[in-house]
Amino acid sequence: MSSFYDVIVIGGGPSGMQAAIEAKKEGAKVLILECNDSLGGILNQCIHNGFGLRQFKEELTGPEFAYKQYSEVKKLKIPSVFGAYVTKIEGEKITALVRGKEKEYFSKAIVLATGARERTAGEIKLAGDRGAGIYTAGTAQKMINYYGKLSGKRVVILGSGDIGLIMARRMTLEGAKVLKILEIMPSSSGLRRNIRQCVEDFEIPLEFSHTVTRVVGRERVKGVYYAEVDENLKPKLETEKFLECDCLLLSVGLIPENTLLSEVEKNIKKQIIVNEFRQTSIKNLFISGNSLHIHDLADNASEEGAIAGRSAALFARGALEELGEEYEISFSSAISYTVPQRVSGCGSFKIFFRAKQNFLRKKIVVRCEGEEIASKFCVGITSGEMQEIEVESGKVKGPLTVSIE
Amino acid sequence: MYDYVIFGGGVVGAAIFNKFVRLGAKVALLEKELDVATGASKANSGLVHAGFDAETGTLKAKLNVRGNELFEKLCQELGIKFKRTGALVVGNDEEKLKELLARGKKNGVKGLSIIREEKLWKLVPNLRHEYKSALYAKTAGLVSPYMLTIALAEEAVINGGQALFGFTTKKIEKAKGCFKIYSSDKRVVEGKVVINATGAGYNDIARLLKAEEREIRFRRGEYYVLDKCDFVNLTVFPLPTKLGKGILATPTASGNILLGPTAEDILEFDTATTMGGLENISGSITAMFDNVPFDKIIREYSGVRVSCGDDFVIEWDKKAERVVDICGINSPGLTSAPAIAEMVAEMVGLRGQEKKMIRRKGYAVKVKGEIVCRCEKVGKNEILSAINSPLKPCTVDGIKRRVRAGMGKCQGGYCLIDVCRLIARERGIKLEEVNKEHEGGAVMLSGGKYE
Ligand SMILES: Cc1cc2nc3c(=O)[nH]c(=O)nc-3n(C[C@H](O)[C@H](O)[C@H](O)COP(=O)(O)OP(=O)(O)OC[C@H]3O[C@@H](n4cnc5c(N)ncnc54)[C@H](O)[C@@H]3O)c2cc1C
Ligand SMILES: Cc1cc2nc3c(=O)[nH]c(=O)nc-3n(C[C@H](O)[C@H](O)[C@H](O)COP(=O)(O)OP(=O)(O)OC[C@H]3O[C@@H](n4cnc5c(N)ncnc54)[C@H](O)[C@@H]3O)c2cc1C
Repeated sequence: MSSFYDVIVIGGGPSGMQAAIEAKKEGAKVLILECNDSLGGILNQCIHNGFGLRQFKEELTGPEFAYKQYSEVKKLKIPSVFGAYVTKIEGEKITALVRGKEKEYFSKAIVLATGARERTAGEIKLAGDRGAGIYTAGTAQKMINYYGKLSGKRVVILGSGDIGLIMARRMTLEGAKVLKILEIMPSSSGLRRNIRQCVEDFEIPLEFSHTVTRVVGRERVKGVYYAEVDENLKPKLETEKFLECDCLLLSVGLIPENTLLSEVEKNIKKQIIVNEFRQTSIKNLFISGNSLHIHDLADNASEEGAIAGRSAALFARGALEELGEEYEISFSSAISYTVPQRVSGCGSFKIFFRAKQNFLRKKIVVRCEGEEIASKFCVGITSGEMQEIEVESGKVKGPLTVSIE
Repeated sequence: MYDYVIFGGGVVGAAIFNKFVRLGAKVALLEKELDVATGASKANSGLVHAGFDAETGTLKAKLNVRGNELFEKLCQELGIKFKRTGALVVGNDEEKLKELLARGKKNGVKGLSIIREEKLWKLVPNLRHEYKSALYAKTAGLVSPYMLTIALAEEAVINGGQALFGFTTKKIEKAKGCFKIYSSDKRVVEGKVVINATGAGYNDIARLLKAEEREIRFRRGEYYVLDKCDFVNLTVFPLPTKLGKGILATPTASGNILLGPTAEDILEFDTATTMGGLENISGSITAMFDNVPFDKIIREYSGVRVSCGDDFVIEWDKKAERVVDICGINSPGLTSAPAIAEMVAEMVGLRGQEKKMIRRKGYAVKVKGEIVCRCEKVGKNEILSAINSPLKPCTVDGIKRRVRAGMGKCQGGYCLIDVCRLIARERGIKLEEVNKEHEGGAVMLSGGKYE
């Protein structure tokens, strides 16, 4: 078997699979390297519905969504190597531990689609005992959905991220009692629909501006102390209360898994800079899905994979090299980041971004050197949901700014 | 019938266990937890101190310096990492530094010098330049305290020592030159001489032995663990105070960084971390260093120092015959452990040539197998090798300490369940019977509706 390819996709989740599909459709010789034993990534453990409305125009569960993509991968005869954990990227060379044995692959273009990991108790500096029963919501999701085991029977959830909300419902359906969801911020970063369907419908108390101050239980969690926080997010200790429980689940954020890239490119900041082709500053390296930025929906991660995969295929055959000048995209203070951050503006493209807070009846405006080149009216913009706006081909002649007005 | 029965599988108990087996004795180690190294020996700074800190003439000074000398050879024999990286005490009070240097010399510490400005800043690029002088101790080093404890106990077991876990002593009878020790799960162990090396548990065993009970004090120390990085390349202490050696920054033997420990007197043994303690660390560290990579924090932990007076207590019990009391082994107990073992062997009259030991193999495998722990790149076969290693560890944390699965930045997010599955499979138990660390600390519970 030759190990030379046009496009190698690292990670076979929804984003990676779609990247592989689009690259193949562009005529590239494609390979997927996946460290698990199957394709699908995180979708395999998301057995609830709510996927696919955008991409397949029907409501699917995670595994169903993954299966649709997988069928396409199979139909296009795209090969995958399983148990292949990529440890290094150098130029066109990819080093992977395949079932623990080191192997090398070569590819003209590479798409990184390694997903995200969950923020841990250590990272939020959770104080107290460190017994069994403190897990990230995704780990608890895997326990119940893969193995039928409960992470606890009396559960407190810290953080109201989507996985936490989904798990509040899931644990309730499995017979556990979800006592409370505590959210340190004054609002949730979760999707509106998840709050309605997973929390409100099950009458689970969700307390904003509250956090856990201390976990008790040397062997296993016996309870948590929690308190209201002030405007600087510091707990007001006089409001501290005790809640008996045997499990604390954390849904306090996802972190793009991009260590592979940070090893090649030492000076990447918090955010990886890409152009509208999801091309990084290392020209043959493309990135998409949760490893670039956190997507609320697998559909979005997949859509981004399509862009990265198609572009990688074009790059591999030399069709992406002469892009001409790239311009920066800056944004107003109401926005926390955009993807992409640079554009060449060769064709039409979408700018994705997140707002820092919620807005009602506002306009999203893109300007190029002061001139409005795209705008869109929105009834509601929430900080929890990713926003997007399309810019038509031929409009970009200089740096862009995005704002909410 | 054993010649010696040791209570407590911390680094002190394990070092004595190992030494006694090496000297040809028949020994049993009784540990109440499910593995060795679950007490102070898993939660400390992992430093092999040079020995300038302890008051001259104390057991601490003597055993520290001797212990330090023994480390190279011991770790080589045990097949574990030991790095002689050196340590610095930084501060602008040159008088105090000179005092430390003089005390070190009196204690017999070699390789001490005072360094200043450029030379210091070159060794510690992130040190604030307000700090201009430091005592440099060349012989200080780094070791993984739990790996040392595990390796000492493993080697002893491979060579005929017996280690019993989950052994909660309920009753001890004395009969005709022998102790009969009963556990709550009805195991009985007989021995001629007993050694109480239970750290914080000293009085529980002393009471059952009708030996001398002692006044014990507890002082908690909290830490931050950072992901692997090169923030400091050697241990950097501030000047010591009454409360101890101060909040330091050090690499670990595996390349992570530790920031800590705090020093807080507490009434009961309690290893919980606190918001106050953790803030304290950030404050002290930022006062000393620039560019502190707080974004690399992956975990917090705390350990409890157990003290009994100012010095170590290592002596024959005055009330009960054939009982050796070991108490108040706080810092530099890790460093001193090999020397404590020598001293106790001498006390009980175990002398002569060490026998030829079968060396431990560690957990290395030819083929790693699928990567289970992504952050630390630990393969399935390495985990299996640890599960089936001499002490037969059965907890998730036991595996973590042996092969580092779950020690990286995702803290077991990816691998926890897989490690549990491998343990359950190898031990022939149910998934919900796998404990994180302690009895009663199951990772998962049964009862899912579609289980
Ligand atoms: C724990 C968790 C739970 C979620 N739950 C929900 C939910 O309930 N509902 C919802 O709408 N959204 C959920 N999401 C979000 C949504 O599923 C994601 O947006 C989407 O799955 C992201 O797709 P992806 O392809 O970028 O990443 P992933 O689906 O994470 O796929 C990444 C793939 O890369 C592989 N990989 C990683 N590193 C390497 C490497 N070095 N070498 C080889 N392969 C590698 C992984 O094994 C994985 O298969 C969840 C996300 C997470 C992290
Ligand atoms: C914060 C901190 C930092 C430190 N830093 C350093 C350092 O950098 N360098 C250094 O040299 N030293 C250091 N020390 C000191 C060092 O960690 C200790 O001296 C050493 O670990 C003590 O070992 P031990 O075997 O006596 O105790 P432990 O490790 O506590 O072992 C006692 C064992 O006895 C068991 N036990 C208790 N009761 C019973 C019972 N009834 N029956 C059976 N078993 C029982 C416990 O489960 C435990 O395993 C530090 C200590 C702390 C707390």
